[in-house]
Amino acid sequence: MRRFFVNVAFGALAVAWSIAGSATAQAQTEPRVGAPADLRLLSDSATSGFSIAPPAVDLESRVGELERALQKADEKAEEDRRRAAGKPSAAVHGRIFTDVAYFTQSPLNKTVYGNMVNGAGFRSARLAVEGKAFEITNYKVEIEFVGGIYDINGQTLLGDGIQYKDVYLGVSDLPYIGNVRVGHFKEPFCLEEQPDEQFVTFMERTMMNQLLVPSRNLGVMLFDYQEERRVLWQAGIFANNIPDTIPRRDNDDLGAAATGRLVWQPWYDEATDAGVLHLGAAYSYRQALTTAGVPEAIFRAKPNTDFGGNAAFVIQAGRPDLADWQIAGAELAFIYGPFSFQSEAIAGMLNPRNGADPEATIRGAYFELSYFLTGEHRNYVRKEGSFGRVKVAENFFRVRAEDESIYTGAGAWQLAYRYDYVDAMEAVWPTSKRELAGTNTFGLSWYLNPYTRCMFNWVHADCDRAGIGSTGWVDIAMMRVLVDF
Amino acid sequence: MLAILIAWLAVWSVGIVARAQSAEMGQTDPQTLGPSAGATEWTLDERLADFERRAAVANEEANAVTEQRIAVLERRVRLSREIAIAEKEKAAGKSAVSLSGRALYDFAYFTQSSVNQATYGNMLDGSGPRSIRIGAAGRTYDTISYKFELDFNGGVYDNTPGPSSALLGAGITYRDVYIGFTDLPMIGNLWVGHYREPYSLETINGPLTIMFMESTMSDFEWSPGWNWGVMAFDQDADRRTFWQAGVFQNDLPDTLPQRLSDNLACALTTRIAHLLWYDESAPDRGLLHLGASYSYRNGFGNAHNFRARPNTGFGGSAAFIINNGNPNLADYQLFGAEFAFAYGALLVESEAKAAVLNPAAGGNPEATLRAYHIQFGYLLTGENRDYDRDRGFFGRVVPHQNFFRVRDENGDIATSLGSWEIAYRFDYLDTTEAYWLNRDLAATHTVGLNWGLTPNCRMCFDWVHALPNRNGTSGGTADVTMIRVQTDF
Repeated sequence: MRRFFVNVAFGALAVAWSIAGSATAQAQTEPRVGAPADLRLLSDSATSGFSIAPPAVDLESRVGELERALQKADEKAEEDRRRAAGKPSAAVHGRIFTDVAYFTQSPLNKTVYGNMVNGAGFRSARLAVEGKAFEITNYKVEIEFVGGIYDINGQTLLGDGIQYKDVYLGVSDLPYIGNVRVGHFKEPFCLEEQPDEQFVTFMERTMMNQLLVPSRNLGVMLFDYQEERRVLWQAGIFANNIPDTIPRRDNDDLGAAATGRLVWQPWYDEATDAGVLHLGAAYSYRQALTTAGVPEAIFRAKPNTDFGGNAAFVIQAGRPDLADWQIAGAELAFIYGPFSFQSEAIAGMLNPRNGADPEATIRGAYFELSYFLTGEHRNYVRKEGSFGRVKVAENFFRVRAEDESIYTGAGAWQLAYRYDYVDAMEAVWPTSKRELAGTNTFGLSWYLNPYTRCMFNWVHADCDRAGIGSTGWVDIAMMRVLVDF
Repeated sequence: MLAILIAWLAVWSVGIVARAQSAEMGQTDPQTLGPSAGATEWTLDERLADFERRAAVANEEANAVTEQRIAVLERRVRLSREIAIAEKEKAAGKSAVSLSGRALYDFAYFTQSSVNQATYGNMLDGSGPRSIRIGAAGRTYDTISYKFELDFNGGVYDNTPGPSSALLGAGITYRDVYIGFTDLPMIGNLWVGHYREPYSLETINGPLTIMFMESTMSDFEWSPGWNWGVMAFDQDADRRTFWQAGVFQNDLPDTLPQRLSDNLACALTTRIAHLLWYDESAPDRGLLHLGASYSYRNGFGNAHNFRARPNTGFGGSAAFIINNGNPNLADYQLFGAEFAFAYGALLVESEAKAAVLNPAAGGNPEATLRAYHIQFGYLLTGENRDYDRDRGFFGRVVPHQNFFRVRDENGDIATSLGSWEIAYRFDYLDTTEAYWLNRDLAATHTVGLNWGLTPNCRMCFDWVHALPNRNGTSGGTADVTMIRVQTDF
């Protein structure tokens, strides 16, 4: 019996101890529920020297260091921004056009105009710097290195040289007038003339353009775009017919011109930028210089090419006794996704001095259709009423991969057709040349990427001269590789 | 049995007390100190637990603040990463442009023997820029590259085609102006535009990096230089064999590379080079280069003047100790063979060239102009000339130590040498077979010293001793001492 009690007492004691032990352990654990994990770890290791130092001393100093570094970087960025705003920015641009042109003439055409020579070489090589200064002024200096040095009358080519292109400075964000531009730049006349050549659908602009559009001159222009009304207006005064080789005139008579253009975009697809209806009208009044014996203005055009030599001028008209002339133009452009239609008509009214010869009107018009086979669209620049860089869906590449198979990106492919017509029959000088011409141009453009383009143009021109009638045809096959940057 | 019951109750009672205590401790406000209500004194465990609770709360508060700061940092890092990616994408959508340029300033002094002066006239000393260039180059979308480089040390000529056109005034000349397509299968690379035709090793090098101030007389005389054309080039997978082939517009003026003519007949030029030995373990320090080039060129039936000065750009027209050619050239062909051996700081280069002139019907008989040269260069400071393994030609010398000479903090002067190269060249040209103007031949010895201050800046000292011969009679001797300071970027 005694042995029994001893057994019971020991058993009870053992059970009691074990339960009490577990209860103490529970009491130790319970308040730690919900404490951070690192604290739990800390207190688990409490047996070996308990430490209650905040665990984030090291972490905090590291975070502090990061914050200080970040603040320093912010301050430097701010300083850089401030410094950059205090001086003009300068970005380098340029372009290289390499061309080849082959002429085929009907025998009659060759007899009348002479032999049009084939050509190969650079059509254009330009370097430009442009930038902004103090947020509201901007500038551009663009020099063309495919140029010529002419005699003082600008008629006889003496040698190769440079030409001024866009060389201007501008002020923007002005009340009422919006923007001012002073220097040498394109007069606001003709839709086809406005975009840089690398953004024109065809290799060369139309005969209408060569014949009547003033292009760049020295002057002052005001312009603004009203977004809510989709209206762009441009107006300026310029020195007429200034040579690009050095845009400067030393003459008592500065030969002024006033030019204005109004553009309205009745429809613009804001969602895709791939749809627009552009309507425009432009007018210019231009004074002729009064230098006696020098033909003040020669209106001449090649059949949509730059090569061919002097024989290729199938239209030559003008007046030796010009008092002034006016040009008026109407513009229409419609882009609907990859499809585009564009058309313009221009008339030039020549007004002789002292009623010498009757007034004469030179007329020109064209329309063009183009379609991107690869789905891109022409890039219409709303603020300028002009065209810009085409965004290519898939850039061209053709590379051999590691597995030896060849991968190709197509680039963008565009087909285009243009009909262009000019009539200078009314102009009576030079007397033997009262001419008109019409051209059909077929174009294929391959945009390798937005900055690189290969172009193939085929021009078929039909010519006419008063007293002869048809003067036969000229065919021109042209090719261009261009890059701009 | 009773004992078991008692023990059971005892165990339960102990357990209940322990639970009640622990429940009370759980409800205790962690902020209050001292024993909880109902308890007179805490056990050590209880005090420890209380201490831990307080530490936990303090920690939680500290952690919350730190975590907030980390979150701010994380947001900032994420933002700048996004900005960097956006900028990268924007840059990839644009053409990259990097500017380049060079300025080479030369001085040349002539000393002629009396016979030489009587035969050729007085050669004028000269000084001034040899080349002033500005250029832009870059890439668009990885596979298309471009270069646009103009030399402002050129001249404007009248519109007469051919080499006889008259100089009107100073002007610009086109140098490398081309569009390049890279990574194409089969042909590798394609260049369209204006660049050096792939003829002869030293021509491709150009005056910026060659061992002497000017290249050989044959290079002056008939190397095609820059023309407008289309060229394909590539190298094999080991980059040991290089080939180039192109069609070009022949003899275009560099002032405006444009031809207006019914006859757009071209020149065809091709070159192949192979590295028979290349020490891959020491790039460009051990190699054996063999090459050959050929060009077929239209002469347009015009007079064609081949002329050369004794390895100098100065001296005026009297310095043309070679002045020959053909009055009515139908076409001509150029042949060239190249040899180069580089071993550490030593470089041996040699070329043999020939021009075969084919006159128009009834003209002068066919004639061959011959030339060869051999040159040795040694870099005293141990560097070597870079070798381009895209097209197989030599480039610039990168000094081990760029030159400096500065006074340090202690007032002592510290100097670094830059690279020093000594060089010798023998150059020979024979045009006596050609039947027009003069039957000229000449040999020159050139001793050169090049001091490379940095990879982009060097000074050259050349001394040329020329032994010309005209129409079978010795033309005496002409010595030219030349100095150049050049830099490029």
